[in-house]
Amino acid sequence: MTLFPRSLEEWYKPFTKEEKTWFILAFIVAIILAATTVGWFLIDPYHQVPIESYAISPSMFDKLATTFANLYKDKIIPEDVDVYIVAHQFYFTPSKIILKKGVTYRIHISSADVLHGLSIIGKDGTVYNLMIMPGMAYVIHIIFDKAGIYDIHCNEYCGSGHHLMTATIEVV
Amino acid sequence: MTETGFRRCMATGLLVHLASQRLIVFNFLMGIISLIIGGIAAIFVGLTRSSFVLLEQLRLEHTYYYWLNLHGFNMLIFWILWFEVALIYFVATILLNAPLYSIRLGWLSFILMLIGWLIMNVMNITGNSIVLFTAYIPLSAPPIFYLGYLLFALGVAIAVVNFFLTLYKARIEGKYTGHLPLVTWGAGIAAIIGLVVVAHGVFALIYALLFSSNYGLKGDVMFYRWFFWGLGHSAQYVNVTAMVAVWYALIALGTGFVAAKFINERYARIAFAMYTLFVVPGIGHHILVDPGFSTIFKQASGSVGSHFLSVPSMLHALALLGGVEATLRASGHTSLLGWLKKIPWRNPAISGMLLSMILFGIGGITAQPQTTLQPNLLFHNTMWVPGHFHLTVVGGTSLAFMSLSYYIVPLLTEKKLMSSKIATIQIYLFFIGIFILALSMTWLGWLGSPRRTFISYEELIEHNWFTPAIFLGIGALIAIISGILFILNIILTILVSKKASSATELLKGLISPIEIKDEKESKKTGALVIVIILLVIIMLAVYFVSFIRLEGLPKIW
Repeated sequence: MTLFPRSLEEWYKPFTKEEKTWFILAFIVAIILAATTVGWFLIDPYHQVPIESYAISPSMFDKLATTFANLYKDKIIPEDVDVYIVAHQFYFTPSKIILKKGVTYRIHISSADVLHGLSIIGKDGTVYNLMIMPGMAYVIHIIFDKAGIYDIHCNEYCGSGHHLMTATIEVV
Repeated sequence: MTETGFRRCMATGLLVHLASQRLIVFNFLMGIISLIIGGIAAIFVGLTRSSFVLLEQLRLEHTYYYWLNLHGFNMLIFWILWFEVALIYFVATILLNAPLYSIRLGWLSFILMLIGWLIMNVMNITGNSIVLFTAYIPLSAPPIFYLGYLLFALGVAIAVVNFFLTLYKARIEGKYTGHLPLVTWGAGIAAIIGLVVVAHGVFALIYALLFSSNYGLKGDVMFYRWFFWGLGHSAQYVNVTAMVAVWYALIALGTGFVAAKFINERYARIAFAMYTLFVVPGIGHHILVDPGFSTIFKQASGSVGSHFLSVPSMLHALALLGGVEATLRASGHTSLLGWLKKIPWRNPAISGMLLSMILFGIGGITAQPQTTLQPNLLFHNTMWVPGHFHLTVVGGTSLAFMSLSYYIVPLLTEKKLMSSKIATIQIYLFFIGIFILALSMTWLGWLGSPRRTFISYEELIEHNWFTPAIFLGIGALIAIISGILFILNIILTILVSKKASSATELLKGLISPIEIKDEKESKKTGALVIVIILLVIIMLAVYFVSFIRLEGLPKIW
């Protein structure tokens, strides 16, 4: 009687065989799930959540990214140059970057005002989502193996013009 | 003879304290009002987010966030919390033959919640606080909005304290013998987690309040996000625990208490207690792709903690499904899965419980990859996330609460339910609607569509998001129609329906008793097979597929 008070003898019953099996199995499933995410560092170190980040004031980062955007407007970014992208309400600077395929780039990304998000969405099924935080720059190491256009979309609600926040990565 | 201030329930024989009952009804009605507001907003959100209305002008670009904001607060916070306060009062008073510890404290809680509710909804409706459910600083609403939020939280905290004091008083005054009923035990665990929620919530909200009042506080969004999710996600575990408690109530009510005998309560009680262990370690899965937190911290506080949080829900799945199977086997259906056909599928409690379990289970399956560090790169802030919580909170919690409403309202008002047939139809419609809606969201999420974002027609076409968006709209419309049927049925029962003269009349169409032939014939093998297929094989498959997909994408680290 799940709705009425019960004495200990009434509810304290041994587990049946099925219940015991499931009790153990449920824990095994959780252990498999948890072990996979930990073990993935050994299996594939190159499909991981970026870990490098540093604190920087929003205005300082804004300057860095604006300088970068002016320098590499409509130019292919060379292999040894770090990329800077800053998110504002409601646009990214630079709004387009051109990268070479097969090259490791370091993309620094941060926000000049509120919390934003970075979605990289490609026609080839690429989807990556990260957070863009004011006061904290994220350094993403990324290699694009295929040429093509990748869309950048803000994925964190940041105000009335949130859906207008898009940018492009062109891989050549 | 009943004492003054009490009545004897004609169906259960329980003593009902009238002043406590009034509080339960008022809290419940506020939940229904919030459901109506959130439902109206849902029409606009659903139609805008789907590609159902093809004319761009009608897709309400500029009001999308307005409706989304209203929908989120009224559904996820108000409807569910008002209902939960009504629920904890119900299980602590009526089930224990006891009055509420303090009726005054109950009304104080009600009034605080009402003031908070009014402030927040006025701000939302006038469009002054479009910060959405998460309200991340530095984006901020006027200070009064956070004040309203805090008043509402304070009201809930007082209700929880009142609940615990009621349990204590009922115990020392000997209102009942033995241990708490299972349902009360489950609701008690929900209330304990509720205190964790309020503690985090007060911290996050005062922080946001100070920030928004311009007292020179330099808002740290990392800090806020951690404490906000201590409120935001732990609150979902209050909903989960309350929902499971409701499932145990439904299985008893729907079968006229027959199936409840076959539930292993010790198993269920242990599973309930396990929820409290992993709630705080579960907070971290919201910050998995944030800069600034270390990987070990993310993994320990997010992924690992969250995976273990699914264990108790998995145990409940067997406890309940096994209870149904054992009952039907004892009534003479002994084949492995033959009992499935004999389930009283037309009963609003049993169908409500099982359909709610199915949706919640699918939600649990989609939760596993998104709560894991690396696959979170694929799913974070995409439509996969609302897909997950529309399965768990809407398909799971709301459906269970609706199903229970069909029993609580007649029992409290002593009026016959307006239509038990429409109740069953409503439950199936809601299941179908939410199933289509949520799985289209999951599909959109797989394709990378960001959540809480207005998507233009060109973008829908460009990214192949058009088809799932159409399905999303269809699902939303079905769920909304079902919601209207629910509200009409409940309101007409309260306003129009006649008082029942006997227990049989009161519960007509609501109870499907099962005749027990041999109590010893009560195996749970079929249920074990079902949970292994769903919660081991399919769950692990979806989980590994998302890892395999990650492997084919550009290298990132």
